Amino acid sequence: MRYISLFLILIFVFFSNKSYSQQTFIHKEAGVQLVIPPGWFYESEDNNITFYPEDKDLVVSITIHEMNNVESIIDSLISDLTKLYTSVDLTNPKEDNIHGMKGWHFYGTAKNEEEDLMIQYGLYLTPLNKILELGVVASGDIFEKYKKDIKSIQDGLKPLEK
Amino acid sequence: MQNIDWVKEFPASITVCDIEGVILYMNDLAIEVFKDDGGVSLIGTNLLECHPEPSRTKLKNMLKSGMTNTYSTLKNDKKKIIHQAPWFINNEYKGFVEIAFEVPFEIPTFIR
Repeated sequence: MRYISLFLILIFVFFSNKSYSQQTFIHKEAGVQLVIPPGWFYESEDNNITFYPEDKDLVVSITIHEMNNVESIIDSLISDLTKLYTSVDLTNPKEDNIHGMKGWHFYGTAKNEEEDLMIQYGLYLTPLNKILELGVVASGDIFEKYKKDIKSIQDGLKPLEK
Repeated sequence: MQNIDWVKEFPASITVCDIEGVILYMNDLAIEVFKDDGGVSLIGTNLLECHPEPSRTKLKNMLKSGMTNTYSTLKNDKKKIIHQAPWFINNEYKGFVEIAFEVPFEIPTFIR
């Protein structure tokens, strides 16, 4: 399956069908689980999951891709970010590993019309041969505000416990 | 057709905003769909305020360019078409309309 742009998520559509905070989000098809920070909410639609705090001033986007060429997914992602923002400056993807799942992460900065933004993305190979993309784009202030929560989501990503 | 309010109870969620993203109108189904977010009280609020990045910039670009955006969503075994298109009065761009409605998984296509 071709890369599904995360930018298709939520355009013009308000948050609907909320699921109130839970301890763990399970994605059976990908064979993974994620920690939902206390007081956060999530929505799941097709292969896209969004985690967001009560103030709705940040979204942690999770997209499940069919097993594909990781490089092409990263290239598409960078291409989308470059089209959307100006002054996009990203690190080269570096290999990563979360709870035994191989992955890659990259981060950087960009600008929209109003402010400087921080970008953080990770892609991980899940136990059921999917690619999980986890991304955050936000201003520095917002990033700082939710730093701990973002880290808890990232660190809480692990293979589904049996 | 004048003065016939067919939009109000039309079985699709219809939301209208101006060029700045301020919601001008929601029909009955839109009010129902977004009731947890405020329902009718959303009228007068700005869509941009409830869209964090990257959706915020995407939405801003759409409002600026006036380019139509159409996609489908799949949730809880229900497929929806989301169609977002500019609206005009006397050829002057006035904002966007979003129409969202449920469709069957298989849609017949007639080649004509």
